[in-house]
Amino acid sequence: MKYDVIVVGGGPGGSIAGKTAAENGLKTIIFERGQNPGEKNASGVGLTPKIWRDFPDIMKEMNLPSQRVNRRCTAHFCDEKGELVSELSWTPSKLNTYKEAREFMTVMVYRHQYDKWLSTFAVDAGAELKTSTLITDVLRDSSGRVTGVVDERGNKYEGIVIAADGAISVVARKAGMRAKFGPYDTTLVVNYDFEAPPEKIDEFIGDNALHAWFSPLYPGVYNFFKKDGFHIGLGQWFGAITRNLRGYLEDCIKSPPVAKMIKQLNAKPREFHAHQLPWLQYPKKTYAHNIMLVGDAAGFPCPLEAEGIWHAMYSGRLAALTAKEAIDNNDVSERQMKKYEESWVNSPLGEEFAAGKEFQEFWAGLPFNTEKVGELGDIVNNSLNLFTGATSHLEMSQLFLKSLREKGPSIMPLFRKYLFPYVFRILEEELNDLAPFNDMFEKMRPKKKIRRRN
Amino acid sequence: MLVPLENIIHKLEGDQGDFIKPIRENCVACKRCITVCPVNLWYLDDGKANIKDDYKKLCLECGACWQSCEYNAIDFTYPKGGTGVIFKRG
Ligand SMILES: Cc1cc2nc3c(=O)[nH]c(=O)nc-3n(C[C@H](O)[C@H](O)[C@H](O)COP(=O)(O)OP(=O)(O)OC[C@H]3O[C@@H](n4cnc5c(N)ncnc54)[C@H](O)[C@@H]3O)c2cc1C
Ligand code: SF4
Ligand code: SF4
Repeated sequence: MKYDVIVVGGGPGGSIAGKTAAENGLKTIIFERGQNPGEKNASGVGLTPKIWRDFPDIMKEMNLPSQRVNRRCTAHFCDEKGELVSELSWTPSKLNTYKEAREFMTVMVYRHQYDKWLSTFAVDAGAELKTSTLITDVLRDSSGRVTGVVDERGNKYEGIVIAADGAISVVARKAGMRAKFGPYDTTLVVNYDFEAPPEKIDEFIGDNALHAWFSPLYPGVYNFFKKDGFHIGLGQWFGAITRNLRGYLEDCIKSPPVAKMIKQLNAKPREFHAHQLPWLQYPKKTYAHNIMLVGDAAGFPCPLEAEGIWHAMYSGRLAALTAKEAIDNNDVSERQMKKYEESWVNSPLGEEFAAGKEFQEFWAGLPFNTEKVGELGDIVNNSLNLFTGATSHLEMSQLFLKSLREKGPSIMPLFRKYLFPYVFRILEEELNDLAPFNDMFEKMRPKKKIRRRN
Repeated sequence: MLVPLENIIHKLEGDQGDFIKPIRENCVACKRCITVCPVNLWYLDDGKANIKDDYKKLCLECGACWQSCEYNAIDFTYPKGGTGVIFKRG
């Protein structure tokens, strides 16, 4: 069967690719191995405001039963027994450059609902959606170039291929575009879904719907609240997994503050998930003759915190627009397809990877480093203790500095290696703008030393 | 385990096919698959990794076993379209 565009995968990347292609008059088919889009997919999942910025016509219609708007994030720092030490909360910054970003941080939904709903836009635009169908191989011409795909029953489909089939991407591998991801290119994420009465979540959580837990007991845990339940999960790069991740997650769930929250909400485990999440410093090659990779198949999740829904949708749209141009020019060569890579590199998506190495290493070196995360929690807590009256403020400040000096030898190399490069990389130009402050600090410095008794 | 996993892992109806196969001759018994599988479906059997006979009841299709094996000793595909795990609240 002949199509203009064949999309493999009915996730966010596939549906937007399919919608865009069909809207542009291309004969389009989307394949999804699940009975419905979304039922094979697991995420946190927090949809970020970028999706509203870039897909306003779709998102203004979103009204899913599970959705909960998140306007406040809280990080909990716990000690080696999992006991709470300190907490930090933050809300949308007024510095954000567009309205939605100033109003909320994420909207939490379930993928079963989100992906299915998103696919209706592709179908309404005229794309054919073929569910319960597994794509098992690519079709090639006599010179070995990809011309289409083959399904599990041996049916053949010809057309420009957009691989939106996720982290494991059968299509990318069969097309010879990449081998399976390397041990520090992809993470395994395990996740419990808990159900809880919506009114309890409204009362105790409300719109403070994103929590993160850090402790030497487990690598950083995310905890996202929906209307009638929540996800609690954690991930790690394959290369760094030394213990079964479900064991870590259950240690977190049983730790005193999390167990208390679960009890307070009267929550019960409802589903268990595991899924891969690519987390690369930079995506692999995303195009070849007649084929483009989008979303997780390409390795697009953000290198800092591995958000990937917007990235999949954005790349899906760019790939479909390149396909349209290819059809109009009657040219599906590698050179034509390269325009897809040029378009994402020069877009907000490419900008995500400007400091990809520093971002990814920061996350691996600190929040996911169970050895060091406890010390970080102590630093946060001690710095906030400067504002309590138990010990004189002056003495506490000096004790704090002393503890920093003592921890220095173990914590400073981490800061030097992971935090500073990250800060300097993203602030490269802006740092020059801070020069006037040096002058100011110099003038503020007290000329006389503070005198302390004994 | 918080609750028995079979209570909170749901499957679609239908024959899934054989989608994971140990390739015993390549296995060096490094046990990575055993460590990573989130639902503990792998074990050592006569010095080689093997997957439980009834793995299709709990397998989450995450591909972690295959991804972590550096010796090409695990063959992994997906179950037949429209079968296998269903995440109702993924
Ligand atoms: C636990 C977890 C938490 C996450 N949290 C967040 C978050 O909070 N916010 C965020 O933005 N991102 C999050 N991400 C990342 C996000 O889920 C992905 O980046 C995003 O889903 C990628 O979309 P996609 O369309 O590229 O691929 P996917 O969503 O993986 O979709 C691929 C689709 O292709 C289908 N498919 C695969 N192979 C075949 C085949 N051979 N034949 C037919 N169909 C096939 C699959 O069934 C699936 O529907 C999270 C990921 C995980 C694992
Ligand atoms: S990871 Fe591969 S080599 Fe190691 S035990 Fe498992 S199957 Fe064998
Ligand atoms: S795919 Fe995942 S759940 Fe299934 S056996 Fe492999 S590691 Fe275990």
